Amino acid sequence: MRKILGFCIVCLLIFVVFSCGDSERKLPFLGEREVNDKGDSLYHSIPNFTFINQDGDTLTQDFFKNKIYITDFFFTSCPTICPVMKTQMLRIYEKFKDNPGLRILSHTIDPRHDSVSVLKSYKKRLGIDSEQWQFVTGEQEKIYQIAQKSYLVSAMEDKEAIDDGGFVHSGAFVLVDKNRHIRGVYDGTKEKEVNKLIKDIELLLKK
Amino acid sequence: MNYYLRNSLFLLGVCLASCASPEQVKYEQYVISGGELYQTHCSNCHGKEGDGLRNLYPPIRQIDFLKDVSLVACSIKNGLSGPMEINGKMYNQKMPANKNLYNLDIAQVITFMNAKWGKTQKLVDTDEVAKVVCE
Repeated sequence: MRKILGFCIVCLLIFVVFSCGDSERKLPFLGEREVNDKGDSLYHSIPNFTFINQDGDTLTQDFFKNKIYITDFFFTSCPTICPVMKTQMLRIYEKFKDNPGLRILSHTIDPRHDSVSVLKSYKKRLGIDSEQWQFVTGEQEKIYQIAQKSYLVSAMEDKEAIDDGGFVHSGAFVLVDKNRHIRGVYDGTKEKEVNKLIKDIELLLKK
Repeated sequence: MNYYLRNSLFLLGVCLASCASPEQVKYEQYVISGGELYQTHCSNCHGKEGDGLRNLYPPIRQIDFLKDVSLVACSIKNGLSGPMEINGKMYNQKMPANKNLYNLDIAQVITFMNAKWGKTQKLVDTDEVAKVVCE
């Protein structure tokens, strides 16, 4: 009798474990959380921003309204991790091409070199012909600030880092939801991490 | 049976390796070390399999001047800039200089690239790289 009972419990456990699989999976909210007077949690969110895109047009948070988006920080003359990041970002782009729910935002951290025309040519040579993936430049300080304080990734100039092209930055891809909350940070240089990001995008797009 | 088969294959391998000429051993060593150097210093842009990246970084597997040791060595040493046509496609991305690589490293990388994607299975010697005069 005891054996049968034990068997039933094991079966139930297995059932429970499997039923809270992918469909029930929820993404976390990252960053500092605040509680307002009413006792509601306020999640860390991305503030308003204004940058200039590869076509010389102003790009703000409005472009990402009711969209989820992935963002990263790079520079066009980067000899180290950026090409690997771009190879991985291309996988995401190709996978979700023409999906109106997802956009991609790449910030240059070297605005002195990466002018509008440099970004335009970079985008073209990367073979990106849709508005879904935007490349932006702007005031260096503002870019570093939004990277570090809002998207919680590192990005700064470091003239000592000659082998890295003079800049230090993380290879992170940040996943932002429709309400401007960060739902995941992934290493954009690793195929496995990007596979996870693709799954998480699919999960967020369903909502 | 399987056990014996594996062991005899291993023995055969050892015999063959011991029969290889010193030149052959050196060549293979250059190819292996060159491959490791390629993955460290070149593959970020040119890809693990030499495919390049779209129209940004040219595919090593398709360049037709791989056997031109001086051109390749100078490109690695001093970098490249300006437009460049490869296989009918125009590229214009600055390639950084690799000042940290020794002549031996460069010789090994060129030997590796030729072994993998070129038409010559010939060892590029360190002296050959050392003699190169770049513009």
